[in-house]
Amino acid sequence: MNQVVLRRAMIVLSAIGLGVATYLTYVHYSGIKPACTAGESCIKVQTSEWSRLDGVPVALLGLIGYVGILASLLVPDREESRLATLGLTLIGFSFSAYLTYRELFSIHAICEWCASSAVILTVLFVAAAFRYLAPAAASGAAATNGRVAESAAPEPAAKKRASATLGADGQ
Amino acid sequence: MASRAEQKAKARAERIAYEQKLAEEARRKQRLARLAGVVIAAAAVIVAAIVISSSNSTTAAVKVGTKASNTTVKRVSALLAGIPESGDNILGKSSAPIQITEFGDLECSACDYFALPTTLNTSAGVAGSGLENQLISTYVKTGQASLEYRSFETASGGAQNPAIWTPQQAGALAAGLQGKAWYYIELFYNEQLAEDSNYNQAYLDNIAKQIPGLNYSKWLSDINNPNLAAQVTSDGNAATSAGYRNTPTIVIKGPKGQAPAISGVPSSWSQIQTAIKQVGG
Repeated sequence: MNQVVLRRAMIVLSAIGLGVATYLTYVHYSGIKPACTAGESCIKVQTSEWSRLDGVPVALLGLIGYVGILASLLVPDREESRLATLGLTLIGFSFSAYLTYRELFSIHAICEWCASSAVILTVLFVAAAFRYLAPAAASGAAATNGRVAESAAPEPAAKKRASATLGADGQ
Repeated sequence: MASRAEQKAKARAERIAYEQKLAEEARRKQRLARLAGVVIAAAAVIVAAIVISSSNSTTAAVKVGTKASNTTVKRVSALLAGIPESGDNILGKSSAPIQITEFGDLECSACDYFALPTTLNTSAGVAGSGLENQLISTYVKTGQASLEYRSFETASGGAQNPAIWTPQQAGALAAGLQGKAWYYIELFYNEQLAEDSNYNQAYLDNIAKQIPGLNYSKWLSDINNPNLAAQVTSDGNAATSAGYRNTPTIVIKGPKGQAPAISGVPSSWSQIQTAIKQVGG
């Protein structure tokens, strides 16, 4: 997939995730019932002991996480920023996998808002891993991508040569 | 034969290619090292989060005689003061024109949210809905409605000790034989532990011991009464055959018939009022 399209898709997904997390944080602090098609499931999940991490609502943690992911996608596209996206989505994906496990096996209820966030984080994580690792796989071959390889080049001489040899940005 | 200049150019190109290969290799190693660093850091964050999340469970049981217990008993007594009980699970006048039935699971957190006043937090730290208290003080206390509690397992079966389900619910009926079922129910919700906690007989005993004026030894023998266990089972079967899926499920009947069952925590006080008016209340 085209890297630019991938990045834009990830930005859109993160924005949706941010919306979900914002809503759940609002629900948590305002004490209202989340809109839910599955009866009391969302209440069950939102009022369970796992809805907080040392007193901090996990919805708020999700909100902060999405802001971080979004920020890492909006800064100039460099290897470091891709790595930051990967790290953040890895944390988000793993923790939401754990929470989904708790929903299924401890709370016995699925909150669709939480599940949608878990799906978004899974997709974001896979996309971030692809985005970071794809150039690495390509660099082993004769050709490599331009922008990322350039920024990752360890010293100016190599950087110059890389651009000279490879020409314009391959993306 | 290649000229000297060509040989030089060729050697230069080979050197450049070699250096490039080395740089490529260094870059690859650096990327992998960074990736490993980030993965390790992420793993550390996740492990820490899971450890914290798993350990913030189970609020301790409120022991009889403690200040916390006394405060709760006082609050529940104020709520139930002056309201008669009949059957072994009905709060309010048996002749009340409106009959309300709550299908509940004493371990279910949504039932807890329904039962607790807004001034109290559930075990997860969320303020109660205040709806059941409002229902009791507005309609039951005034003799307009009766409130029956029936058992429907939705949470206990998946907790650490699913076998406690029957004695736990029969405990309310056993207290009901002494006209104190709703003390047991209210105390249970007021002190409810986080879902999935390890409720056991000692926990139930502790609830019963907090009920003012309860004959504890009678309760302790009644709790194993097979008729009460059968009633718990038949309540669940009734809920299942009526197609109910959630606890609480609130069924409201009156002179004009029965309102559609409210599945889950009512969304607002007006939803309850509307249903009561619909059946002639």
